[in-house]
Amino acid sequence: MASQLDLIGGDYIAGISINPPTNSRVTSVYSEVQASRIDHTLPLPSVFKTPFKIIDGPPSSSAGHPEEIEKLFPNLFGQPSALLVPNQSNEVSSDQKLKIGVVLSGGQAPGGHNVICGIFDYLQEYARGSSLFGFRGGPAGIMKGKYIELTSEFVYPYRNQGGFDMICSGRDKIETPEQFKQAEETVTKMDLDGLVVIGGDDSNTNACLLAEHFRAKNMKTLVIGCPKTIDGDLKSKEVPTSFGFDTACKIYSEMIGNVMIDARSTGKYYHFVRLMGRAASHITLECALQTHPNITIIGEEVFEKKLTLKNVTDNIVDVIYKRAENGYNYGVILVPEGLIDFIPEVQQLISELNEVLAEGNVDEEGQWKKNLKKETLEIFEFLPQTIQEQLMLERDPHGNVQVAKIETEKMLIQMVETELEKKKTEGTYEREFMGKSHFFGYEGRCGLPTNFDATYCYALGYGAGSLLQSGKTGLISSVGNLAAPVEEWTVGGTALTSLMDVERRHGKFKPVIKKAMVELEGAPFKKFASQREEWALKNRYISPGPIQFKGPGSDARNHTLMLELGAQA
Amino acid sequence: MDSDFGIPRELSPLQQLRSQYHPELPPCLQGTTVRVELGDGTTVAKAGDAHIIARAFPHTLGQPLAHFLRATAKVADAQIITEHPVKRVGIVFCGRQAPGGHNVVWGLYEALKVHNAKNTLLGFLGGSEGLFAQKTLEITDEVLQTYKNQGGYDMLGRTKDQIRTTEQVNAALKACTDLKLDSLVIIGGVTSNTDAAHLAEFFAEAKCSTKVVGVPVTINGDLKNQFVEANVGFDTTCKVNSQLISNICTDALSAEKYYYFVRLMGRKHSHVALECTLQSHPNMVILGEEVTASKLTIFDIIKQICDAVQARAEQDKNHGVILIPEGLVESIPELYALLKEIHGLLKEGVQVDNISTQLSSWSSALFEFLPPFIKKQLLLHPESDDSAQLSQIETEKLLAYLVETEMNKRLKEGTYKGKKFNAICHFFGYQARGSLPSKFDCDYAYVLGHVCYHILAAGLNGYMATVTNLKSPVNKWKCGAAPISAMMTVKRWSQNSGSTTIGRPVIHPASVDLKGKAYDLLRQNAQKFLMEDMYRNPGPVQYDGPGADAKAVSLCVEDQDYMGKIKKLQEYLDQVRTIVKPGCSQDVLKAALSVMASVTDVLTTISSSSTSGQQFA
Repeated sequence: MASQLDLIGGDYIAGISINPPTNSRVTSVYSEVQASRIDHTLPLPSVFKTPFKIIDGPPSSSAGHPEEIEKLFPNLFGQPSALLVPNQSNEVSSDQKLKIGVVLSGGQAPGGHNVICGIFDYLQEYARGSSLFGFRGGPAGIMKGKYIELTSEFVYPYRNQGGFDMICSGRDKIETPEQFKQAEETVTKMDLDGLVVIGGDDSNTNACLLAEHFRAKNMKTLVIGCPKTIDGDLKSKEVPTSFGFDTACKIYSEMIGNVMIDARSTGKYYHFVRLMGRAASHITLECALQTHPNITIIGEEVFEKKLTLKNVTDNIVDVIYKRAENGYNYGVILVPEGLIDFIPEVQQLISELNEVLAEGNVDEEGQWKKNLKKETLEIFEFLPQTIQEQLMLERDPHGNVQVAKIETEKMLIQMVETELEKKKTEGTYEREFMGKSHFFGYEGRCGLPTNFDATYCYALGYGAGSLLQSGKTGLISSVGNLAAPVEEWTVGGTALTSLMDVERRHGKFKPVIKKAMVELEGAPFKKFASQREEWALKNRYISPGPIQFKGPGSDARNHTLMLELGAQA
Repeated sequence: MDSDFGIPRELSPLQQLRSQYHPELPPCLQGTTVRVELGDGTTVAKAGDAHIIARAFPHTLGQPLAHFLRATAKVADAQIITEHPVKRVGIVFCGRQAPGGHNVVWGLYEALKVHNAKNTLLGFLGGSEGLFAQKTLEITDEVLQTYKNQGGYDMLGRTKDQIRTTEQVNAALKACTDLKLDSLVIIGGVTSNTDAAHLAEFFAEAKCSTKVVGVPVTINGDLKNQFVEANVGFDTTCKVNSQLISNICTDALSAEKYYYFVRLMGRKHSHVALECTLQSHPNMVILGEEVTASKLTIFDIIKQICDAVQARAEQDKNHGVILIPEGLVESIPELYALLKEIHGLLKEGVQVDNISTQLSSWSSALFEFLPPFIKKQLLLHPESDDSAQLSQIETEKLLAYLVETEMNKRLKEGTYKGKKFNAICHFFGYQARGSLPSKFDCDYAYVLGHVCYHILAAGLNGYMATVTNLKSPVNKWKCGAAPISAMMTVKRWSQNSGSTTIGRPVIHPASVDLKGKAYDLLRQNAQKFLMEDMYRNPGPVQYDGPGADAKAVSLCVEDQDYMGKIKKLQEYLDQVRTIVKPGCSQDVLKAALSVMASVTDVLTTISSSSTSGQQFA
């Protein structure tokens, strides 16, 4: 028996019998790939190989309404950005032992564990004897004072591994005065010198509010943010990308490429693939650049061109029709999850439906439809029967229709089917249309991070550690020059207030970090737009294959990032 | 059938890298000599089927096993073929695509060219329909360029894929005759290889000189028997699925609030689900074979899941991952009965809208109980092999829905005190079967391609190419061929009147062996998987460095190499013959007689009990 097991690694079975400790992961069950990733050494930007100091840039402003932002952040507004530069000797004091807390906020993104490992290793290297605490289950962990001390043994199994399960995450926000009070109490009780918030736009806004609050109260706790989101919509000049985007897009692209090969082998299905990204369509655009699908719908373009649902459907039908003329009865279509949020008329429909439903007089015969405006009714009637029913029947606890529950790709398939059916009766189309729907989402959030995400996150963690050690607060860890080799990456921090604007909610100004949308004038979209016609009719599918950790191409960065950095034609 | 099969593809950097990879050959296939040793004639798996199968295969039943030997092997009666007259060979993809299929073509092509540069390989475009219509593409280095080690079947394409009706069989015969083919190689799973065997017999009967060869290629992993250890495509599919499942396990563990129900493509049997479980350690898997063996109803299954959810909640775990093979719906007795009734009515031409009113009272009650989305899917027409459209029936959603209903009930009653039950459903199918093949599948398929050449050089008809000892490195692989008819069994159905209907001899898909080592490994660990979240992530398929040489767990734990053992037995028998030759001493003869008598007794007892013990569900 032993000889058979050698082939799959004796520890495959041996590991299973070991009882796991209650907290950390069990590495004995790890696969060969996982095990090799744990010990994968990550390169660091060269600034960490020499003594360094931090220099400040010019004072900053904000993304919009500086006067309002200044009112909201009187202590932090205008902070300069910080940059680590080599120096004769380390100006950042190293004899001080720090107590640092870290929290993961919001949805998972590959690389989160590496940010924590980066902070941990930074403290080990530059502030020996410091302690790092992980708040459990997101911001709620801060409010409830639920945390664990992260030790070298505890952190070890998570190195270069996906997921957020080291300390888990949550979607709670620290908003109300009581909640701020709770956070204040926790960090005071723990005597924290610093807190690192790893999250998306909302979480980083929240981090800045905490920083402002602590500063206003003359507390010593500093707060530094880190840019996380697979959606790729938290970025600016100083923060070139959010972590997790690279890995997630590569996983989705692997699957899309596989579906393309499948489509071409079978020759009879149109695959409609919905991709994550409720607000911005970065993921969809990146996946398109990686795989060259026949049709890609970009929400921002639909919005910009004020396309209606009918337009979107007609465009798809048109391509299918033309492809049929070329003898192709199959294809692959990418759709962003947030598509319908970009269609103004659908927004109109939703708000009218909510009103009608609130009044509660929905009758079987459909008389209630008379309460809709004429054009709104037309849109409603244009929707497939099942979607109509879904809108009317499945409502949230407040009685509102649940747009988020609509499976956009299935809706499009049905609408395309109806249109092609019409063409068939007219005798202008003869093929059989068969749509297959896919949603690629959750399986991309927790994959093993790519070499890029693993390295980027580690540098973000190191950066966050250095900012805290040098007394910075209200900054977001910023690693730049990402198109260059890792050694040449820059490390620093950007004032969170400089990324902010205000939105009016309930009669009050609320600070927000504006989500970065797909820029129709940006290099990634332009490249896509210049090639999509060819992709539509000719089959230029590319199948990137699974993420590789070793060998040629394993260090490749995503197209969006490289195009935005002007590093690729 | 589209016009873009076989044209050069644009390759991604990784695909380009892979197209440069050249699999190695086991020693027995190296060089330009074919050395074949024909063993004893084969028998069928079930003695009771013998006469029925014999009737269907007068020409091709009982043919011997063939072993291909290395040039240096010293075997007395091995046939050594050094002359390689020009051959014309046709090859066709039959059935669903599986990663690695292209490498069979490549392997065969290389073997053909190595042995005689004038040999020709014709690929049929668009699967079996291309065969009938004689649409061919001559395989050349140029054509192969961008398909080596690549996924999909898009070099030649595929269609509906059966070669069974008189019309189809005649069209195949005509194609082979018109194109003057010495051999026809059929790449596919259980149905296609069954068709290959019947076609071989038909050709022999018709005195057509074309020899038919089958190659075991299917993601389902259900073409398994004494002779066949693994199928091309299974390894890759399971790895890709396992990667995704593992990501989802990590997601569940990180978010701590969802139960993921993941349905896996793999047809009737649960090989894919079992392998993925062994690779990624999800909390639960519902194997169709277990359900059948324990005759579990849908309510039993729901109760099992709900009890698990509750037990986990008591340990403050409100997340989990549950795998469901797509064939499960056909393993649950009452759902299967319902499906059969529906299919019967559809066959009679009853309109879909009227079916619910014509069901028997049992089935009708069950049908009415089911949520609307699943009703619609159950009403779909069955596939050509009479099974339900498994990929279209969202069993994972049905289970999630029923578990949610039950958990809400328990929550209300106060028996369940965890978080509100939240389910997310997934179906992994298309995204895995079009994948870039793993190193194992590339190697295995390429070697099988070479084996095909050796089969046709030896003039064998109705054989399947086999490579055994697969869990060892390539240089230890053993190559051979087995008559496909020896893998066949016959199904018997008892009718209500008491009479039995006897089916046509076919290769039945193998079910997961509940006495096998792979299943045993699962059972030993099921409780830990369930409660302790010991998730394992095989990671994305690697081609370089750690993990690149990983093989399926179920392949590695099973005790295989049947072909090797048969060969070993042959050697013993030969030795006995040499030692106990006339003229040997009395003592030797006496000892031999007594040992042989007891060996024969033991074997007679064992083989009679194993044939009666084996039954098909």
